[in-house]
Amino acid sequence: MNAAANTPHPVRIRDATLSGRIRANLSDLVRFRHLVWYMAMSSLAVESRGTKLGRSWWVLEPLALMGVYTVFIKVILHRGGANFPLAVLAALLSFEFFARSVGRSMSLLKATQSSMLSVAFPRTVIPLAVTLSESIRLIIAVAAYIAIAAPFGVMPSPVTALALPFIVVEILFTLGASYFFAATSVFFRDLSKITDYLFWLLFHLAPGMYTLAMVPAKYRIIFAFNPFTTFFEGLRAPLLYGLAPGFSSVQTGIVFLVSVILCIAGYLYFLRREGSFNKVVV
Amino acid sequence: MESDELAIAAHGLGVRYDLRQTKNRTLRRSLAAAVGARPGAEQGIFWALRDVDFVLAPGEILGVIGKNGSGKSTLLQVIADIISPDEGTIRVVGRRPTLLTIGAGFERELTGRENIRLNAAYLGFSRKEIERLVEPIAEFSELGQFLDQPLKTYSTGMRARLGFAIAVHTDPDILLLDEVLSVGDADFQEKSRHRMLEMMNRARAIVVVSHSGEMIERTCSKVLWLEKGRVRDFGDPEAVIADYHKSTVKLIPPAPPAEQQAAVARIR
Repeated sequence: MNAAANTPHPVRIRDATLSGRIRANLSDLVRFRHLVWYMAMSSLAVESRGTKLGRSWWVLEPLALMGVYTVFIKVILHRGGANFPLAVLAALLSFEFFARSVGRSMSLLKATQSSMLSVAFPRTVIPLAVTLSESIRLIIAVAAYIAIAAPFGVMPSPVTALALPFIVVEILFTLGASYFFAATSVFFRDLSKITDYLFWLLFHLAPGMYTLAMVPAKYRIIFAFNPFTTFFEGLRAPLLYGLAPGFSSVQTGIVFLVSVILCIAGYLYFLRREGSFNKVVV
Repeated sequence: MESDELAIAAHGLGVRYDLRQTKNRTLRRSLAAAVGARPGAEQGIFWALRDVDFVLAPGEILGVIGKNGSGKSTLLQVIADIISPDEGTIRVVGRRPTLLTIGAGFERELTGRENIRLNAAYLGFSRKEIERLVEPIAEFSELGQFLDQPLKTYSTGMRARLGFAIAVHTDPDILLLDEVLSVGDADFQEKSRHRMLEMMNRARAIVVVSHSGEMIERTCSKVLWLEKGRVRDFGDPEAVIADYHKSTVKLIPPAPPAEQQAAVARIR
């Protein structure tokens, strides 16, 4: 007799508690999973359009940076070991992935505050979509790296696959950091300026322009605290030297654990602040 | 209350703005706000909505009136799930409550068709639903071959048409309108009005914010009068609108003739 009774309407009850928000957000994320994909694909498409070289820039950009460092270290300072340019390139791919993901998450979240105040998509998709598109770029760049390294006598082997778990961990770490920095930058606008320099400092405090083997043994403990040490070496050792990374499995385990915790904590922190994002007057 | 007899229910609803986050921001305060510290005093807190209670049944059209800054748009944002309440609860029964807007999130490097897909994804449609929507929206927009050109080649009018075409194809159960929208030339406007009425007929419930008491009296079945974020009155349109006019008539000059109002509405 009542047609409406047969087709139940979804009921939404929003309350202010954090547990309520987590439940609601997780179901939102499932509903908006296509948005994550469309946003990631759109940003990849937008980036390569309007430039003459298009997608080649994904590989050319790190190559150009590698060139700069090679001129500086090899030609001017006469330092650096065998395959120095490729050793730097591995670290740059890893670092650029992190820095770009966090930077774009911050700027995209800010942009939606001014132009998307009438659209109700969950803001938690922003770091997800950004990290996804940057991960795709990273994977493509790593594939290109393997191809570039081959002429230098660095042939792919089963050990190459060891890089994969390190890439996965860096993705988790980056996602957590993106959530954390994006949520904070809404209330503290100067943050994106600070992170530009903070991240470069972390880059130089990790074996990016040098390898861990060049660091005197007594200082290596300092480098162990920098997660980039693990990410850089985790990429470089398998891809360039055909070796497992030269640090203990305990250190690797700790970085894995820290990354997972950061990912969850960053998400929860973002969620706790999310309710007020749309109320901050830009 | 049974879900079938309910479209929207607000209970003790409150939304708070923290002015300290936007005004007089010092580094220390911003940092405190960023890490979520809560200073003791309630100074600098502004309640955009407070103690708002109302119930809307399916099939009803709610008109929201009140002066500028009375909380009308904030209420729409809460119902649309853009802002979450700081106090009380809001219950919305129905799929995809949508605040109708034109072209939010458009990307100028993407083509018209790609923007349709992205925009529909922002609204929460699944990939299957999006693929089903693209062609009807493309056709409605009458943009022809421009749909495969990047948005940056569009004129303002073409952009608006694309945005509007998307908006009127969203078919939400709960339709939220911040003033009634209208774009394009006379023909497109007529088509749009027609499509909008269809969408309103299909909606489970509608909430309209408007400054025009006359429009609200004509179309709405219930009226919510907000004043400084609180409910001043809620009930049948005739009675509420009459009281509303009585309270504002001293402050504003008599309403201009209908023709002029229509012209102004068009310009808006």
